[in-house]
Amino acid sequence: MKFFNRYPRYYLSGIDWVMAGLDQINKTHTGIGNHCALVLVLDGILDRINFTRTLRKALSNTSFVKGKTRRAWHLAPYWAPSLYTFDNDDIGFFDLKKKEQEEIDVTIQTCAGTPFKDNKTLLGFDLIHCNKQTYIIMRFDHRVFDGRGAESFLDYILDSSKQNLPYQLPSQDPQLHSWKSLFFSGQCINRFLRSIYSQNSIKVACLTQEPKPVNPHRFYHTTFSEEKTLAIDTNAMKNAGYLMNGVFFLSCVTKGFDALLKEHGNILIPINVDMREAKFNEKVFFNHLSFMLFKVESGLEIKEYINLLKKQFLDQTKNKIPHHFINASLLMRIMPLKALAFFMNLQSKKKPSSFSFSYIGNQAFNLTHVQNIEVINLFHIPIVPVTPGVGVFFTRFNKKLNLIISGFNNTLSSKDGQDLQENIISGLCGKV
Amino acid sequence: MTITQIKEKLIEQIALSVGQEPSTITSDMMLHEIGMDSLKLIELFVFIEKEFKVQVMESGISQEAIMKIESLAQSIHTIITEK
Repeated sequence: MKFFNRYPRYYLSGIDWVMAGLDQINKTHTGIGNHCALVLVLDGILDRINFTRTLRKALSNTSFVKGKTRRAWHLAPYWAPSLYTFDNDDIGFFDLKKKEQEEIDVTIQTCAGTPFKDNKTLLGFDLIHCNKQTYIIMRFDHRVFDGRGAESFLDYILDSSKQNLPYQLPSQDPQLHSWKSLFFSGQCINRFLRSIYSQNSIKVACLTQEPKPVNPHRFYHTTFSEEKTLAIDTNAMKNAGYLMNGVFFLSCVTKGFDALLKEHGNILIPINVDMREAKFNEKVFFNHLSFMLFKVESGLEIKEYINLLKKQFLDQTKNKIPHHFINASLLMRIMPLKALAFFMNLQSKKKPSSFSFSYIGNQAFNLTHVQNIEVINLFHIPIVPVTPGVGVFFTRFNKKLNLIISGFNNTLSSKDGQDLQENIISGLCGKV
Repeated sequence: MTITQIKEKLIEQIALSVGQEPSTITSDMMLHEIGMDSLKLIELFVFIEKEFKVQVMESGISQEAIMKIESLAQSIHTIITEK
């Protein structure tokens, strides 16, 4: 019998635990966990056998692909990795004959929305050949990767020069100390949430959710050309200021969302903020993010949204809200996962939000070619949490901006999805 | 406080924020080239407000001046001396 683990463990951070809670909620309601897919577009046909060989070499006998959460004797949850052996059936393959982009998107969507084969599996791959292009789809579980980490990991898998530098899962201490500071952060977050949801009359503007037994996901994807991206960035600089592209994008999304609303109210937007330092390639596994929560009135102009959001961005940074979220979430690790999921689900009904938002400004995937074929695009298609059920995400790849709208069919109808996409694009490119 | 002292403090703060050695950062580099993003920029504004009592967003410092440490330090210096 083994009494001591010889290897240093990775004890989950509070944010990792929250991600595991969201995974639980999504699985209960939809059968699909809290996962995301990276779509890599190559300008040529990638050899399937070579690709399988590359994956086998990079992933066999590693501990990143499978694992689950467990609790130590002092109750802190940790990540228990399992050894993984690569199987050829682990890659889905689609050879589509000449198809329209819309049909390719449907296949990508189906791949991205496919659940993992079991609760322990954290990565899945699909390869699509179509119109002399290849789409590599890597599905990843948010319990072990955030968006940037996953990009960095895909870079590692596909870069043959890095194969001799094996990755290892990181270790982290259980952080069972500084309780006073953790409780102080908890108090700050409670006060912050109370101030956001203060008035009894607060009416959160949400899209109506229709009860449906199944919630298939839909994605609406736009890649802007280099010229269009440059024009959008100029627009952002002119209207929101230097390095304030995220605020500009969020303002355009808020305005676009506003147009879908049947009644006015408060638009509440939880956003993910990346807390890595610049050297993000060193933090590949697990979640290195935190949250902010913005509240604006509906019915305003983009310029007014920019000013309000900038002010709240400054205030929340000044009050160290992202830092307090990280600290306070450590206290939530005491709750068993199922209880946490129940509590979070209840809270999201009491304290609803309008839509999720994130913007990844710096890409972590830097390969220009995969097996001598040029990489032309990379974008993310995340499954959003059941509540709010709709999210808007921006990423960049090689000077091109990608916009993804993701939503459950019972929240974002096809017409609303297309309208939202058009509204956002006209906001980004138009005069403010 | 001289411009050089302001620059040194800004470089120290930025280095801490992006996880680099201060010696690798020069004052003529663009902030986004150093690895700054919107959150880190706002954190820098908070630092400037605390350290130099200058509210960047309300002080009228131009967007062009914010892009580099050199010009940002000069603008902060002008505001401090005018006070």
